This record gives sequence, C-alpha cells and structure tokens, in this order.
Amino acid sequence: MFFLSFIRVVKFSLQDLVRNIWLSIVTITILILALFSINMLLVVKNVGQAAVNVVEEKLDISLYIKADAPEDKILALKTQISDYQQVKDVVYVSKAEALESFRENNKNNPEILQALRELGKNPLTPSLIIKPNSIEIIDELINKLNKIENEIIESRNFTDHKSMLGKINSITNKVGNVGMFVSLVFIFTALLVVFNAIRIAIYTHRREITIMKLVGASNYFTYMPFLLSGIVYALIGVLVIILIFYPFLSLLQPYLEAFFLGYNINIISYFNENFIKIFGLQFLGIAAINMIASYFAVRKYAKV
Amino acid sequence: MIKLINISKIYEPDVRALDRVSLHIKPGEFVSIVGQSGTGKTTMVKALIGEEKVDQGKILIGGWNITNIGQREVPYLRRQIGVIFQDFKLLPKKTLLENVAFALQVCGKTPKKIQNIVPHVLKIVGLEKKQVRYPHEVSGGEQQRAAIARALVHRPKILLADEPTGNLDSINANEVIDLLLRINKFGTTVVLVTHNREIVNKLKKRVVTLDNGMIVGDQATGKYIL
Repeated sequence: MFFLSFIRVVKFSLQDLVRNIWLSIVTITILILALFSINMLLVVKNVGQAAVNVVEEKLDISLYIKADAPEDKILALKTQISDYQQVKDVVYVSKAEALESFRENNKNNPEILQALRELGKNPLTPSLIIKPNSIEIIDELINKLNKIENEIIESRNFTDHKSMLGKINSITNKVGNVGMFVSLVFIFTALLVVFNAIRIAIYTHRREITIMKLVGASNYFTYMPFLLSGIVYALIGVLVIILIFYPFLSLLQPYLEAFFLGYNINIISYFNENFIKIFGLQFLGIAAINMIASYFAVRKYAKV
Repeated sequence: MIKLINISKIYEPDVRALDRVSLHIKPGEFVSIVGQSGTGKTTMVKALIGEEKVDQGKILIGGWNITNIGQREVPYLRRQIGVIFQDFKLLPKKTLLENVAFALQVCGKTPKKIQNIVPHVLKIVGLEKKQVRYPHEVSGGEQQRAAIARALVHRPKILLADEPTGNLDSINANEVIDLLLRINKFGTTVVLVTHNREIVNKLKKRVVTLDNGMIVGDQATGKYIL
C-alpha cells in the first residue's frame, strides 16, 4: 500500500513537472543561475587563495654571513636552520652567486656596474635565504633566528622584515575575512532567490492544492508531490550546472595559467578532486531549501 | 443520515453565520437548502465537510460526530461525502479521467479497480468520449458532470452540491439537476444548496430556507419563498 502510494506520488510529481513545463523551466533556470554564482564564488576563492600563496611564497628572510666565513660552517648553519619546523626551505647564496645576481638585476644600470668595476672586488657577502612554512609563524621564526649563537653571522636585523611581513599578513587576513563575508552574503542571497522561486512555483498551484484537500487527499498526497518536485528540480539544476560549468572552466584555465605563470594553478583539477563534495553538497543544499520552501508554501494553501 | 443539532458559527467580532440551526436529513432524501447570499448556506456546507468548525452544537453524519473532528480525520470524512462546487474545482492539469481517478487514488484503490470503476462512472454522466480531455477543453456543463463523476466514484452515501448550477446556462443547469435526481433515485442522499428559484420550484422536493443564519422554513414539498 505504501509502495503504491509512493509510486503515485512520484507519478503526480513528474506529471506536474512536465505538464507545467514552462514553470518548471523557469524555476530550474533560477536554480542554475544561483548555482552558477555559488560555483563562481568557489573559483574566485580558489584564485584568491592562489594569489595569496604566490605572495607568501615570495616572502623570505635573509641571514647575512661574514665574507670570510668557511664554506663548511655556512653549510652547517644552513642544515641547522633547515631542521627548524617553521622553515620550509633554506637556500645558500655564495659570494659569487650574490655578485652574479646583483649584475643581472642591475644590467640596465651602467653607473652601478661601473662603480662595481672600480671597486675591484666583490663587496657582497654570502647569505642564507630562509623561506618560512607560512606567514603566520614569521614572528616565531625570527625569534628563533635571533637566538642563534654563531660567529659567522654578519647581521640579523629583521625589524623591517617583521614590519613588512606583518603588514602583508594583516592585508591577506583582511582580504580573507572580507572575502568570506562577501561570500556568505552572496550565498545567502542566492539561497533566498531559490527559496522564493519555489514559493512562487507553489503559488501557481494554490488552487490545485486546495482542490486536492477538498477531494479528500491526505497531507501525504498533498505535500509529497511538491516536495519530490523540489528534489527533482535540484537534481536537474546540478546536472545542468555541471554540464555548463566545466566548459566554462576550460575557457578560464588558460587565462589563469597565463596570469600565474610559473605557478601551478589548475581550477579544473580542484573541481575534479572535490567533485562529490562540491556538487553533492550543492545538490543536498538546494534540495533542502526547495523542500523547506515547498512545505511552508503548500501548508499555506492546504488549510482547508 | 445528517443531523445538525443546535449549531452556531460566529465570525469575529459578532457575525452569526449560523444561529442555533437544527436540521435532520434522512437517508435517501433530496433536500434543497435555499436562501439569499450571506444567509449561511455555504457555511453549513463547510461545516459538513470539516472545512469550518462550529462554535456551538453538534454535527452527526451517519452516526459519526464530526463536530470536533481532528485534522487527520478530515480527509476520511471528505472521501465519504461527495461534494460538487459552483466552480467545479477540477484539477486543471489532469484529464477528466485523471480527475475522477484521483478521488480513488487518494483512497489507495488499486490501478485495476480504478480502471474498472472510472470509465463506468464517466459513462453514467455521459462523458465516456471526453475522458482524455482537459477541463479547459470541455464546456462548463461537462466540467460539472466530471465533478459529479468524481464525487460519485467512491459511492458516497451523501452528495453535497454547493451552487452546482451557479456558473451554468439554463440548459446545462437542468442537465446537472436531472443527473442529481437520478443519483438520488439510486438511494444517495442529496443536499442541494442553491439560490436558483426556478430549479427549486421545479424540483418539488423538501426545501429548507435559511435567513440570517437561521432556519425560517422547512417544507416537505416546498417552494423558494424568500
């Protein structure tokens, strides 16, 4: 008996969807637009995070070594600092490498190159370029570096670094927080639009709901077709957005690669790796909103 | 069959739609409830199908006290009383066949039983050739006959007709009334709520007259006297 009722309810739901095809198309279109905005938010969030990562990757701390420090002691210091858990990587730049880099950076500045020639010797010192694991532990790392007792260290004034890194950290945090806030507002707006779209769809069925109740339909027969329609709308909406969004991402990917040249950013991989999570959650979320909206809208007209 | 015992319905702040109305309708009777607009006829119909709760008195239908009927029981009550309305109340996106079948589907009848019953009932009301049409594709009279078929399909003991000819021309109106008379001949109690003087006077059946929510007349073979 329950199985027969359920089959009937499914049939009523699908029949209603098909026989009110324009209403169904419009409702699903609104769902698709809302889902598109939510997925675009994910893309923006991803790209934003990639930009922040690029900035963070550029951050490093330089430890200047005395010009006459023996190579083996420099390498030992490098090993020591590499073992710190706050450190991602340490690069040793020798005197010669520092000079080469200086010449390369100033190749368009003949006066500086001339001054260097006149000096006759390499004025630059070796250095250790230390990359932190993340921007948040910079303070911790600087404190640790300040505590190193090693006579080969020429200078360790990290004050400017600290101040600059602190500002960058603050900016990236603020960007993250504002981004989160804007995302939440956007998502809320999209869900509200979906909620109202469903309510309007139910509004057009208000007479039918009343008639069903007057003819003796139970609440199960009255509510269930509309709740099921909400699930079907959500399923169709998510399937269509998958079909639309992947080609869109394929168009976007080359531009992202060009912009983040040298960095590995692949938005399609992100969506592939999180496919079930992203689209599964979207389906469940939209289906839930549809069902809630349907329930309250039908209830309004079923009070006969 | 139907007993209204001293029922009153008051709408805020002090509008007495029904005022101490007592009425007994026996099984198999054909009763016309008449009165001008606003005299409580529709309120009485709504009370009988559980759409409105009365503030005083008792309502018994076939021995069942429905005065304080719970929301969950209302669908069962409505499946036992056939109701037809002035505006037909057919589901616009279902064919006439599906509209009639719907009344059986909500009762849980099997597809086989529905296939046996529904075409037969549509034949009784003369719509066997139009069963796959949608309500907007048939005339008002045909829509009302489809509504009657839907009301009859689960063989109710009572048929309530609330202004069934209100939206029909005189020819269709007469056809609908003839159908109700035929249904009554088969033993169904028919309660016809109307303000159509000609129909009531032609029927020569029991007439209960309402005025200001009160019964002011109850004649075995009455006329519309207001």
